[in-house]
Amino acid sequence: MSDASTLAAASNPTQSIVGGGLSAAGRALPASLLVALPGLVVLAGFDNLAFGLGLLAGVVLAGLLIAPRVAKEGVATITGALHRRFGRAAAILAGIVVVLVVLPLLAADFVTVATVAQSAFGSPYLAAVLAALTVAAIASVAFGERAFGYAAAAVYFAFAASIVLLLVMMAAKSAGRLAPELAYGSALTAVGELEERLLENQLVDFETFSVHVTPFLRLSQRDVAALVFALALGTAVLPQLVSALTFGRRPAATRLAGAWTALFVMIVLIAAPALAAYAKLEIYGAIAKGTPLSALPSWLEAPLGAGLAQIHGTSIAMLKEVASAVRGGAADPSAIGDQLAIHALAIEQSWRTLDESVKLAVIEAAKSLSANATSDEVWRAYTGSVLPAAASAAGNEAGILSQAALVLDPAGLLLALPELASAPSWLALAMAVGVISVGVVMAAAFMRSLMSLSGEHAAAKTKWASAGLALVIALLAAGFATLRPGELVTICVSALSLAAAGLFPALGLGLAWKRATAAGAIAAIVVGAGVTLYYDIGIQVFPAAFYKTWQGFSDAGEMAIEEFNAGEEAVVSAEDADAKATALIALDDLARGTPTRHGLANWAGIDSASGAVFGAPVGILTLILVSLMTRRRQRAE
Amino acid sequence: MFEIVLGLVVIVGVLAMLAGVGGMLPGSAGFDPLPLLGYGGICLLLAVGLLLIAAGFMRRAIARHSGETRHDLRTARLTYGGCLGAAALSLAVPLVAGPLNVVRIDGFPLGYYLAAQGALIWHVILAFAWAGRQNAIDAEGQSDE
Repeated sequence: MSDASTLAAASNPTQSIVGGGLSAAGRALPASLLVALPGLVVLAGFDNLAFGLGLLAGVVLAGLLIAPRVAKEGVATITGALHRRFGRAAAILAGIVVVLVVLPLLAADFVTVATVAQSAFGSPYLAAVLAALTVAAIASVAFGERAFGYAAAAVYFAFAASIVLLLVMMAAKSAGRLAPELAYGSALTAVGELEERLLENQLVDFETFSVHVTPFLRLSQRDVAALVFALALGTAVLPQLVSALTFGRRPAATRLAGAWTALFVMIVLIAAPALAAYAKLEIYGAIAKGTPLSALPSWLEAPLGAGLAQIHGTSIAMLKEVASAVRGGAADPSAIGDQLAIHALAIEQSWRTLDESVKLAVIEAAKSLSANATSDEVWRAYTGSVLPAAASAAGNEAGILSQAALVLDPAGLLLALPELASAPSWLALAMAVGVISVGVVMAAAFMRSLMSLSGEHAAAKTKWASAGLALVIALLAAGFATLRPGELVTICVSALSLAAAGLFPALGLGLAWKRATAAGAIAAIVVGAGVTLYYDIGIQVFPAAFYKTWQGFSDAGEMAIEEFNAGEEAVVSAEDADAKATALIALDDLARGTPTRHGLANWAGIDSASGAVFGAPVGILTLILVSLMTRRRQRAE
Repeated sequence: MFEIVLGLVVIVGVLAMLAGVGGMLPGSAGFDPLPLLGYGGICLLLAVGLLLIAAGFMRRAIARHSGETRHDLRTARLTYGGCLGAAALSLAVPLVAGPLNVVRIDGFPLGYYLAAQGALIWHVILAFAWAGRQNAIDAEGQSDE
């Protein structure tokens, strides 16, 4: 009996396709992206709707294009399918790409879980990371596929229910309507009116402000298309999603489970822009009425405490970290910066950019806090001492909350939502538990996908090696998570982009095209992943050199080019090594760009994280060309 | 055959627009649609024409074959259609949202609504339709065997 028929015989025909869809939905999207979705729409309005579109298109492609092909090969993993069709080398290379994709996604997942646990339950961050790692590791080993599937379905149901309930409460509070997803048009109109008031009263920063419903103000058309492309193809080949859809099912049932998964994922995805509209109404409402910084709204406490919001570059999390460093003996701003670099990368980066007077104010406020300071005492120290200094340094003499002063991380909005909705505390806790559970289930699903790299029919020794690899990768991810990196969304998009370019050509086309050869699949994986990694790492790590190499492909304007040339001259004419190093850093920053300023190092203006828009087509072309060439040679032989 | 003829008509029309035929017509009929459509619109029309021709040839090929080849051709056509549908919903909808925002329905600018909700609902409808159609093709293929 072949493996395919063994799997088909093992399939349980009564296994619920709807329940399978719900279970796969719980393992479909990285938790750090899922929780950031409403915040992303608040940040960039229309342009970040690309996230929802790309992710759902990816789920549809996973369920209808990739998973049925994998099921047809008689296996339940993408590496297993590649092994069966193209041999061991292709499977090993795909396994390496899976590891490179899962590592950052797992790290981002741990950061999200630990941040929410710290914010909601006051757990120490490091302990929360370790707890998440331990629970995920136990869940990935102890549960069978069926039990894990039930857990994923239950967790996703609870998460989706808490999000929808929160949305209903926000709509009832803001617009008095109980069908929020269908009726938030009135909220959008109100947001538009508030935006006009903010513009009239000059309470906005044009580098970060955009009219909510107007397209392509923060991202270009090309960037939106590239982002959707990378997210869709990357999600389509996510190993844990494909396995969840495929396991124990024939291709026909896999397709139906894929369609149900798309439906359940859609329920959360269409809730995100609705939540964003109601949240923006509250946030802009507070800004429009000129709220003084000394009387900050209480909904800012949770995101400021988690370091997921900043006012004039400061946060309560920063104050707490500085207080901890001061108690540890660090006295001057530089020493405190070094301490922060050990375990709070994102806060350290903000700390370095602060004005010296603000740093001193933060240190003074930190000195006034004891180790057992209550949250009220910290809040008073922050609003009473830190914010006035920060506002003064930023030229905000009136000391009022403005759009320019407030920087909200995408995940930070989720922490603010219960307060924004005036939700009861039990709902805030339920939502926190939902986010943590989804994060832990996702982490366990990632670890299970690493464990199954050796395939379902591998020898016991190989399976133990895979389990060891999964544990090492999870430990590395947890280690990275303890540094508390920022930019989790960018990390996730980069990882999905790598998956799209490295895996999609071989899985999307290679499994379907009868003429595809092993050499073609191997070349597609190497070239696709290589191009995308080169684009991402090239721009992030050596941007000036990248720009010099690919000047003709950059969309840089004349002024930016002149500025870059001036920067190069500054490097050449630097008098000593220190001046030269400073000039080189400035040149790299200019070429790399910032979240609000486009850099010079790019191909056709595409963001470094969306490199799959180049890698995937090149991978597909490579698959076709190499397959045709090697097939001819095989025939000739 | 119908798709091939229609596709050729569309392509000839596009080539005529590119050659500026409309602008050369005398009097009030002298209308050049190129600035209105832009090169993006022209490319889209060209792609529609080519797709129509490809669909026509695919239909002819399916009609001429039977057995496994027919099943494979029908699967390929559905796969291309499904991928094109997903691409149109996720890539084309946001790109055309700007002009659609002029229309407001119950406070929703139409382009924003489509990108935030409409296209997502259509993705799910596409997924069920794709799954149902492919399963029907597979079932027919098995009964043929």
